[in-house]
Amino acid sequence: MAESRFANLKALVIDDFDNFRISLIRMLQEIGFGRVDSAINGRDALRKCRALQYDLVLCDYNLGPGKSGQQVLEDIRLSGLLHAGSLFVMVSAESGKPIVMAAYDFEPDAYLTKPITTKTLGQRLGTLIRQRLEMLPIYRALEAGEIPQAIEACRVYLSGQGRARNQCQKLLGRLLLESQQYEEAEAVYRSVLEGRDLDWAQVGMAIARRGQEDWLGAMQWAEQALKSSPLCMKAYDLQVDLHRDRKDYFAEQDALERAVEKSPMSIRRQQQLGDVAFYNRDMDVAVEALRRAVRLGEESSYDNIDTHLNFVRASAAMMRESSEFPYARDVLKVLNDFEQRFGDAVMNKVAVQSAGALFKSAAGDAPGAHSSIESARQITQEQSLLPSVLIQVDWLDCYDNLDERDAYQQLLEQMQKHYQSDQQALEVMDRLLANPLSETNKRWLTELNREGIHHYENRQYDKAIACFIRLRRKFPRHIGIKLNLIQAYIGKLKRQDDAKLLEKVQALHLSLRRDVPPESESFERYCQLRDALRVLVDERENDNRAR
Amino acid sequence: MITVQDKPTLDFAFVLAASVHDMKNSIGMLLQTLENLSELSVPPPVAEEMGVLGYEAARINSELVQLLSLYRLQENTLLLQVDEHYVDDVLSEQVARNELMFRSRSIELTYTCDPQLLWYMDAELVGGVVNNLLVNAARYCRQQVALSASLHEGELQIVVADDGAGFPENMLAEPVETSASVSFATGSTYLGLYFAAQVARLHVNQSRAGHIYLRNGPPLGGGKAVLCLP
Repeated sequence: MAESRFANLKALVIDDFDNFRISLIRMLQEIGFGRVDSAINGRDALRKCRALQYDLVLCDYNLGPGKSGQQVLEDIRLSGLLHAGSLFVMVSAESGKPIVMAAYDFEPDAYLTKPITTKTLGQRLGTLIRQRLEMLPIYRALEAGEIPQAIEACRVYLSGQGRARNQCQKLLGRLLLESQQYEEAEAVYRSVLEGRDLDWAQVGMAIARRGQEDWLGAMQWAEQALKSSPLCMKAYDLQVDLHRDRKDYFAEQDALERAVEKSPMSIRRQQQLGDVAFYNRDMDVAVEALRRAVRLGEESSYDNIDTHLNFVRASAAMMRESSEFPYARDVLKVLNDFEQRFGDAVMNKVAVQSAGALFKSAAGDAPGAHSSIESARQITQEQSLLPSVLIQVDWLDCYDNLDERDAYQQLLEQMQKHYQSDQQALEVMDRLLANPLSETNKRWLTELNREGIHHYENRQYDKAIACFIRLRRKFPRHIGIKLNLIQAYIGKLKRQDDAKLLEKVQALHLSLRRDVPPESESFERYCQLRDALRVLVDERENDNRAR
Repeated sequence: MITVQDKPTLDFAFVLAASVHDMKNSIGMLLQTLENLSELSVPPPVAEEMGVLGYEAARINSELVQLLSLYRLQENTLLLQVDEHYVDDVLSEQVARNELMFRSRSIELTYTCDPQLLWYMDAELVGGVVNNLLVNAARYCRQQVALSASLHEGELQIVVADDGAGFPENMLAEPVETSASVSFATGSTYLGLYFAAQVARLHVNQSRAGHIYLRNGPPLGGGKAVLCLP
């Protein structure tokens, strides 16, 4: 069976099962590979890949504890340990690709299903390697970083009768998109789509349209792709990007929630969902996604410091709002492991002490919170460091939770002065102010508020309520929004009776008492709403009596 | 205020799927070991017994694969990736996979497919269906099995035929889609055919969906299963 064309190829087998690993090594040797190495886990594999450039990596998807096959693939590709023409083949026990394998950025070149025999392996690798050899001029150009030459080589290949047509079309489309030749890319995808509605070509069309700033066209193509293949994760990812282009963070969150529901194992999607939900102050969603992202990060190159900090922040915010918080242990673990994971640089110490203070203050541990925040602030003073605005906001939230008005007010004034012309910092601080100061948030508040009022006037109370709830999450100290929300609730209650909701709205109204003193300009509206609520309560009582 | 994480509720289908997955790993190991053994020179009676072991293990394996795939189908997490493939690449892989089984049972397998034939399908799933049809044919044939593929009226037809007694009358009558009935009397669950029908159905092109039908008679005089992909 040994063929000379395999003789100068180097292969790496990654499998944690001795039995499988040894058989695979034996098979590859029988097929004729010149060199076959093996690794028992992800770390071992990475070490070997750093020492030698392999032409083929044969990796089991399930590697037991530690990195999964997908994470090994990500590590290897992200650190550029394989050359352009090398093959990464994923071995799995299941036939058909389960959705867990719907990768974010990197996909293996092929999947093999167990059981594997020398014959099946030889046959599949023979096909793959023949294709690679046919496409060698393209890969050589890619290796040398010569994209125009690679594109030209693709065109030459496609004009012939090669059997790797499909791979070559995909590669050509991708290279054209990457070099922003959108019209040429479209031509490639259109010719594929003449044969059949294939999701990857539809996604390609969508990316090309996005590149040409045809937002609507891009969205439509992404939807087409989802129609032909409802689990096409690349199409979901593209929709997410498209919403982000428009700074429509709520739509981005919705799209991410749909994507994550289908593919919960992707750390990148969980991180992005966690971050955007945190930005939107939707803490239930943020906590869930960030907790998963932290877990998935244990073995991933994509793990990052902000995911961990935002998980603690979102948890603190959620804990403040509700009496039940299920993930306290996860938060404590994140705090405990933080320096070991990300290093004990001074800024990391400050960040983790601040996040810890915030969480303790939300959990009702005032002495612990005090000691942590003092320690964080002391470090910054001693080293005369200016921590990021996010960390300073953690301090503010912490003082707020501890009900330390003076410390809160003093720090807030100091920050407002310092950041008065820093739009990005102001965007972060707006949540703590009665009225937003950043241009983006001012505009956004005006728009969504207008939308809410529009719905209210059309008696679409639920839609109006949804707008005002989103606004209130972002600007919890804004009086006008709360009054609008109450008014929308009253509209809904007038139409349909709901005892529980009425109680909730009364409580919301009552909570404003301190913020709307008689001399404030909102006082008149506050009283009108109070009267409207009283009418609703009286009607209910009369109804009950009548029954 | 701080509560410990809720105890997760037991989802039996999930537990079953996980355990099927585990069993499948064991079967894979068993098949691997058998292949290693078959490389050694053993006396013919032993080789025959090993053939039986290999065949039964392959059957369990393909049944488990189908169970898992059906579970994913039901959970809506079965990823269908239709792409353009050389039909020969997909089919000859299944021929190679079952070579040992056919050899050890002294069955003659004829395979016909134009190497240039291109068609649209999920190669993994269709490969799984063809594997199952081959294993099934090996069970019911006398000594011959034929696998072929060709285009008919805008459909790819993959045919697996044998020279056995053919399918029972009641199976020929009804469309395969509805025959997912478990019959303990005959010992057959028809799971394989049900799975094949589901995979075929997932392949849709311009409102035409794939399907599978059964016939008796030509080309080998026994049963014939035809998988049609638009």
